Amino acid sequence: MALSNDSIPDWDALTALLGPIHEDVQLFARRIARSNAEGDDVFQEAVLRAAHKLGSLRDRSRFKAWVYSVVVSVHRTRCRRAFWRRLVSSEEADRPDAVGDDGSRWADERASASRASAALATLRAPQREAVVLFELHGYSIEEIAEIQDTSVSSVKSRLTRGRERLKRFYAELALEPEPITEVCRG
Amino acid sequence: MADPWTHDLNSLGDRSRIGLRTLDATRAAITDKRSTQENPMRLFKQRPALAALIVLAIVVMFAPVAYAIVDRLVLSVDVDKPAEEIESDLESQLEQAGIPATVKAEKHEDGVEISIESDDPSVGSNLDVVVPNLPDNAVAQQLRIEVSCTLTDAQEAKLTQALRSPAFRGALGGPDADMAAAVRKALADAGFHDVDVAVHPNSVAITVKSPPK
Repeated sequence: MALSNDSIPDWDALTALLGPIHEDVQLFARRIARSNAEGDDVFQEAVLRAAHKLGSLRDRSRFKAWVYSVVVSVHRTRCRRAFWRRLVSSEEADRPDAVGDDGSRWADERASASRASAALATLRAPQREAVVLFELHGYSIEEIAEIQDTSVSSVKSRLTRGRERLKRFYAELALEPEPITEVCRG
Repeated sequence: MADPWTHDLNSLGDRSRIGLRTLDATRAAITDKRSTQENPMRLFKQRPALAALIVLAIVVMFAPVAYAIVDRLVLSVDVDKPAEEIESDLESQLEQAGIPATVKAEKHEDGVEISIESDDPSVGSNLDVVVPNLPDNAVAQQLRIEVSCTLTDAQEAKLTQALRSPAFRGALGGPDADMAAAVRKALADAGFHDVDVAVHPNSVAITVKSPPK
């Protein structure tokens, strides 16, 4: 299949290449963003950019790393410009839960995920991406270096510092008193 | 022994799978968005019920310092222009006034969002935005958020969550008479009790004065 060299989006070519990894890339966008909705925005913007720039990709075998790097690029651009959007977003934090019969388990899982999201939000974008790619997507340090277009030593440093910040976040959480949810009646 | 965040990350991994879009749905969403972005003026004319909502958030975060007193600066925004021109126009106006700031403008279905980000402490209280050429049913709101205390990373994340919450957004959308109390309550529920909220006809100014309890 020939890759188009035009800047006009080649949707058919992109769809064929993106199909097998579409879910993984979308998940990555959601996990480095602050909500599923924001992640979908990042993913959408990345797919659009990828469609326009597909002609610049000479080696089709690098498509996977390349499209992840586009997501990284879009994410970092949004981080740089969207400081206030961190504070006042027009998006909902999450889609409604499928509560089912075990409502408490879903509530616990949601709280756990929110905590992870808040913890990751304390990391700089490159650290957050590296941690998500390593911990949740199982990429090797060498693969992450290719995606982030950096050296192996940089990725190792990002993972180390990312973990240090996560450790600090959870240590501070452990020091904060639990909110009072019950009133003891004497 | 697992790291303290392992369980939470796994939960995040699971929850991020909720409502994933198919590739066809992604493509449809992108091509639909691009077709509406090609003519933003058509949006405003075809959706009069939504009005042209301009939300301007001026965020200034700094350690407690004295405000510099500057002359009041009025910025003019033409919402009919493309986002890039709005950005360059505002940055030019700010630069001429000697205020270093980064401006980002994004056009959405229901309006234009403009952010002016600066760590110049004089920016927060002496900046007004004038919007000419608004449609008759347009609403321009300014949201100013200032943090005049030092927050840890975790506390900043907590404030971020509070300001993104449905309760806070709902408080902003309520009637003016109740808005200050509703905004204070939304922030207090998140642990931020020491806040000043000032509601003006077209703007809300929030100052977070102390870390959360």
